[in-house]
Amino acid sequence: MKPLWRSLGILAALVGATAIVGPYALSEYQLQVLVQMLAVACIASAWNLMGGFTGLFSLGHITFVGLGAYVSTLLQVRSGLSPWLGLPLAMLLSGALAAVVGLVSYRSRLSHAALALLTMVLAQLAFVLAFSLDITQGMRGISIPLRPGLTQMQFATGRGYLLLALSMVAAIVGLCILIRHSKFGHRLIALRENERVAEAIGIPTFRYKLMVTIISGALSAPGGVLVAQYTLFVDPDSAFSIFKSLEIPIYAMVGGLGSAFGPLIGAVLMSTIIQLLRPVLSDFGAGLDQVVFGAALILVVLLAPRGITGYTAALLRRWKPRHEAVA
Amino acid sequence: MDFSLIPQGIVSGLLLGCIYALVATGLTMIFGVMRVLNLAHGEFVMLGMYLAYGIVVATGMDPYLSWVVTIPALGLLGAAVYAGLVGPVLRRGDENSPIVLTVGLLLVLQNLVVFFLTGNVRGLSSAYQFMSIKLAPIVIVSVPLLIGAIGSVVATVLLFLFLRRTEMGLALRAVAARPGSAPLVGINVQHVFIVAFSISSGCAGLAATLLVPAYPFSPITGGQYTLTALLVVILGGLGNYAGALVGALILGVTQSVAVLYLSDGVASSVVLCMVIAVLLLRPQGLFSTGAVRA
Repeated sequence: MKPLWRSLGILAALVGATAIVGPYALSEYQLQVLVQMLAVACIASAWNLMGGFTGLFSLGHITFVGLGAYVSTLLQVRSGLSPWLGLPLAMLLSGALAAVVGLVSYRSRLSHAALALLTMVLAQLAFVLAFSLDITQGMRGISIPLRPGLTQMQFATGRGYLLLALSMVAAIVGLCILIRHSKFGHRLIALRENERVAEAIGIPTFRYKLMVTIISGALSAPGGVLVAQYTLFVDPDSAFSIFKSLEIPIYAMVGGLGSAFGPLIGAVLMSTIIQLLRPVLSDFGAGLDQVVFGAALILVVLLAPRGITGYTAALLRRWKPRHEAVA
Repeated sequence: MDFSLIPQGIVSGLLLGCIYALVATGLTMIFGVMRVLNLAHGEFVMLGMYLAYGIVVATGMDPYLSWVVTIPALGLLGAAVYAGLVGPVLRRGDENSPIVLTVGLLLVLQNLVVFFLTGNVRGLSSAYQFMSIKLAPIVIVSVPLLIGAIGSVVATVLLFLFLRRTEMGLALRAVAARPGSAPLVGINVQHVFIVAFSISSGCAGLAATLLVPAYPFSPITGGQYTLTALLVVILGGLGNYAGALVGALILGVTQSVAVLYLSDGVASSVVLCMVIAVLLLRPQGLFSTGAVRA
């Protein structure tokens, strides 16, 4: 079977199984945790297109996420637009912002470090603006009125949100898989490995970097909309927190940079570990779960720089040749 | 509009800028020498503030003397962080891993402090806190700000002398300018890296001592100092010492003057937009000689 179909099949099986089994096997609280986990997976997957596939390290991706959340929430609260229509508009605006960011930074040939800095400063600017503008209602934030119903993208139980989150994961990770196995994806990886060589063999690097940045920005919005619809609340801290922004690459990094499944695996694994450890650790005192989180990240960077997927693939490769030689 | 406050704003801004420069010099040194963006730099300042606070509370010594402990302690911590974490990752040679590593370090340091010392905001109630002197008829500066600025300037001058007049300083500049060729003339690059890292965190230790008498702090304070230092090095050009100094003064003055006339939010937006513009239009910094490019 071709790797593309195998990957898509695995994704469909995972999503389908979770959709069917999840609501019965999990408690309402566990469903809540799962929805948050999947939202993080969506955001980290969108980030991975830029950071993992192409090596464009954005440390301010929360800007695109938070912009999406504010756009759909404001349209809903101010003009009564359903989030189902707000979502594509949010993606459009996040994509447009990403286009501007990409256009100016790749035009001025920013280094990796400078791009990381630029995106971080941008996130800080978004935070300050959300904090001080009238339309975003400053630090009070915006509450979405409770109106359960499919048309308002609000659900009375965790099950509805689970299905919503799963379809977002299916769409975003599915797209990542398609890109990963396309010519576009292979060229992005070539670009990441050596931009000059990529350019020399005829890859239009500027256009490709811009394209992947727009896709990545637009795909960051759904995660933000999901969280906003789920908590029915947006404020500068939930939308544009710099610490949340720095966490996004962590999930992708732990799962495996440049792997389509990496961020999903990373998000599920890290969130599960935190959830399991939190009750144990909180007996000792606050902050310890974040210490574990940071320490896990350091260990991954030190010991398994290609993340869990890269590590597993290396193990499999070591095992496979012998196996095939026998067959 | 009342312009009579502008001289006051400029003087406070320049003094504040001197302290920013000290923090940013540490960041510049690590970036200049080993091309690593240390996002945990502010956490070193934060740790130093806790250390200084602890010493002063325990012994009752003058807070400005705590540098005898904070500089060596932070310098050693920096050396350990380099030897144990940054060095091994750096030797692998990809650009992004060290950044992620410092994010991990940031989370660990910040939350270890939360865990052991709680997240409460602390402040030293020292005799210096509310002292101020009149420099000119309409300019009054607080004494801690003045001492902080003087201390920072002295340290920065010493650092410039170290870089210009000593063999180690020469080696540091050589590695920064030609990382590939430096080992060919017999420079031990690993040795230089470890020295650069401990000088950088030593600067953070001194900054902590200078800040602790007047500025309250908490575990998340580090992030603010990192952000300020990053803004400074963008203005001055990544890896450019003189640029960092001027960038810090510009940032300090802009902040101090902007808050006189604009609301907090608009003032920070102005500063951030200015920084973004510089990053895009002159990514090499405002005053780059072209020698070190980010």
